[in-house]
Amino acid sequence: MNNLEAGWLQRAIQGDQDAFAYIVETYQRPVYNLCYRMLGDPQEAEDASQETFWRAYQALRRYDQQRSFITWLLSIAAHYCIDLQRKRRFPVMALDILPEEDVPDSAPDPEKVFNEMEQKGQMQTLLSHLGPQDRAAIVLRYWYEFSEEEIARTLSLTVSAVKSRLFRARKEMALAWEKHSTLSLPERRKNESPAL
Amino acid sequence: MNHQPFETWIFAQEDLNEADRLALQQHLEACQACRSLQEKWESLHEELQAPAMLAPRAGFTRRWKAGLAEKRLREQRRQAWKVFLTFSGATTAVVLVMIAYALLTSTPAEWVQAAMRTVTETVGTYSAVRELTTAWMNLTPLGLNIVIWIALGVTFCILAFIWVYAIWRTAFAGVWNK
Ligand SMILES: [Zn+2]
Repeated sequence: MNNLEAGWLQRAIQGDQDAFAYIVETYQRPVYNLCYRMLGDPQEAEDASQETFWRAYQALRRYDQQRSFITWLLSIAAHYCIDLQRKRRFPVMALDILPEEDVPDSAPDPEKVFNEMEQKGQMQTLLSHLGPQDRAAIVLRYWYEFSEEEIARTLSLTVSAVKSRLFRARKEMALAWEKHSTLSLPERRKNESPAL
Repeated sequence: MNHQPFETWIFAQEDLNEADRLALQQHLEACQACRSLQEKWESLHEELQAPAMLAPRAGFTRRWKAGLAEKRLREQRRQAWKVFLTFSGATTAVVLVMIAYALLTSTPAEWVQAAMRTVTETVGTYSAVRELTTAWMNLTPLGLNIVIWIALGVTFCILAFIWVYAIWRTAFAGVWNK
């Protein structure tokens, strides 16, 4: 976090609503991406991100300023999404409705974009094989480049628990990847049911 | 063939020391199953190196602001209800305590007696006040009377306004000060 953001955060803690709106603007993408990776549905991810910011807004006075703000925010989002997943019996993965991607400004190569989109669909499918906490650990590790210690703090786990979850998740994903990558793309699209 | 601990090591290579890494390498050369697993993980691991970050639909912050306004309104209403319920609950409790006290200290016959006495007394007081007022009106000039009535009316209005304002503040101020 740079000085400017720290200033906004300070004002938000003092109750300035516009400052908090700036925080929302700044952190919407990482929060939304985490919720989408956890829930697999754009609308649910939108609702969960809004709820995350609402919870952060209410708890802002209790935020320990020694901690990294983004870690604190992602921790709220991860806990909320894990709870949601535990409550619902069948995870829904809407693979065909994909949200906007954070595409770089350079002119996109059509074939590359298609591959990325396809890759993304597969990535969600792979993630959907994991339990909520394992999925959160994997997403924090690879999308946010968190260390095992940071993941442990974010998910309120011990470091050894994180290690074993990451191991299990990686293995499950590798096995699932093995199955998916043996199918060719058009066949896969046809045979795939939207709810996995 | 025993695949442990190599199978675990495949997925935790960042934690391995040089000796373990070498042992894993040797096992992979000998074991087809572990090699296949290692290859799968390697290709997946590559995919995971720069995964796509997704953004919400445009207007996320605008939707946040709208949602915030709605939530605060809802909280305001809830607080107003809380104040109303607390007041009416307290009033009901006081009335119930008074009734219980009356039941404990007196009989219904005594109540009827007391009620009759009160009615008679009130009628007596009313006629006395009326006589007094008439006498006062006859004694004083009309102009002075009008001034006094206006002063009484204005005082009453101010008191009523203060009362309403105090209730309104207790009901809403908590939310707006937040
Ligand atoms: Zn083996």
